[in-house]
Amino acid sequence: MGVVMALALDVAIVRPARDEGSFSRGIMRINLANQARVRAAYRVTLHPIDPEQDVALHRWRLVRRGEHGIERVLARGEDNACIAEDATARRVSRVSLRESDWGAMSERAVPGRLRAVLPEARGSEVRYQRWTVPDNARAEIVGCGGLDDDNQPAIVACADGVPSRMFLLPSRATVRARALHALVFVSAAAAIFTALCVLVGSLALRRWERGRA
Amino acid sequence: MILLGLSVALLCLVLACMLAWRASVALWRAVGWVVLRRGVVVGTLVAREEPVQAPFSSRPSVWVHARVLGPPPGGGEARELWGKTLHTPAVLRCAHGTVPIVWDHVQVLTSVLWRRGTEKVIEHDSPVISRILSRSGYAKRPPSGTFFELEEAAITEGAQVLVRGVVVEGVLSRHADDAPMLVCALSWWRVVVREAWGPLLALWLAALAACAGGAVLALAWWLRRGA
Repeated sequence: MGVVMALALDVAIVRPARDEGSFSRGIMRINLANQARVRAAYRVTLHPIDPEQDVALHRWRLVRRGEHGIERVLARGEDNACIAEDATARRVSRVSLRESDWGAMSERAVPGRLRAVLPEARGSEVRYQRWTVPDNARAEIVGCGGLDDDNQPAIVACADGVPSRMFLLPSRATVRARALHALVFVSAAAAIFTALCVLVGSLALRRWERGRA
Repeated sequence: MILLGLSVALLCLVLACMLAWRASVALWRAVGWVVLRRGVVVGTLVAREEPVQAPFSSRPSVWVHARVLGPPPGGGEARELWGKTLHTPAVLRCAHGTVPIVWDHVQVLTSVLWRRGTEKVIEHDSPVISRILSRSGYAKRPPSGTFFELEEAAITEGAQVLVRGVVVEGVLSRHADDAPMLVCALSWWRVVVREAWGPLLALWLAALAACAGGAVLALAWWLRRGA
């Protein structure tokens, strides 16, 4: 029952699990060259997971360990999607941990059900789910993982001694990096759009003037 | 990167302003009189003789222009198969008294009745269509999939109309500028749209371009503020 140190990435950018790294005896050796494929704006986090956990095929079909050939979980992403390994050591991507069904959890039961803790996330900015407390409240993160009732990636944080499900907000640097990318795209789109508008507008004016003449 | 965004935003706004300026000048020249209400006579059109009957709607009218569009009997591109302008001598009763209208010198703007459909469908509304098609060369009924369009613009007897012109010694003449004299039975807005669709379209596009520039500017400003 060793603990696998897994490479957890924003699942949105995880490429098909072909050469994310090599796995042996519960330890993942990260292929450094592979990290270059990860966009700089995203976090790369290591955190422990239980390789004996039951896994679910991504989102829809719950399976137990051993079913569908899935033997163990190798890596886990921040929205709880995992990379698992089947009996033939072929990696299966995009499965979810069974514990991701947070809808069944009560707030009191949350700490006891935690499997993974994100030490790196401690002190990160968090947002309470469904706006039960002010937006700018800060809380200490005590665990993470799982999809909540609305299939949103959730974390568990503790504010004023009350653990609750919350969302992890991206860091300011991440937001800024995304916004800068957006600025480039928006600028290009606006330039093209303006050029088209001016062209069509000028043509319309010319055609109208010709019609009046 | 922010500088790039600001440059693009500036470019968009400058181009939008240039287009908007050209469009505004053209718009004012074309329909400035609508705003100023200068050279406009409002009154009621009254027929001096028997009103004419609109071909498709059978409305008693003082002026009517009707046409049928569709493919010729041998097939091909749709074109005008039949068209006719009918009018009856009429006078305009307005604040200046009773002014005769000379239809040949008047450009008419009025609402248009429009129908599109196969001969069978149109015939239900306008029985005259069969005769018109026969005159257009159709020796037998057109195929069922052939579509025709009817257009009928008419000014009915006693309609409130607006005349772009001036009354001098009881005669209606053109206004000082080179704008065509027109009689219309439309709202101001529809007059503007018909007379100045080009500048209006250009103004709308300029507004869209300005919005695009504004969006880039706002994003760049937000990024700069957060830096």
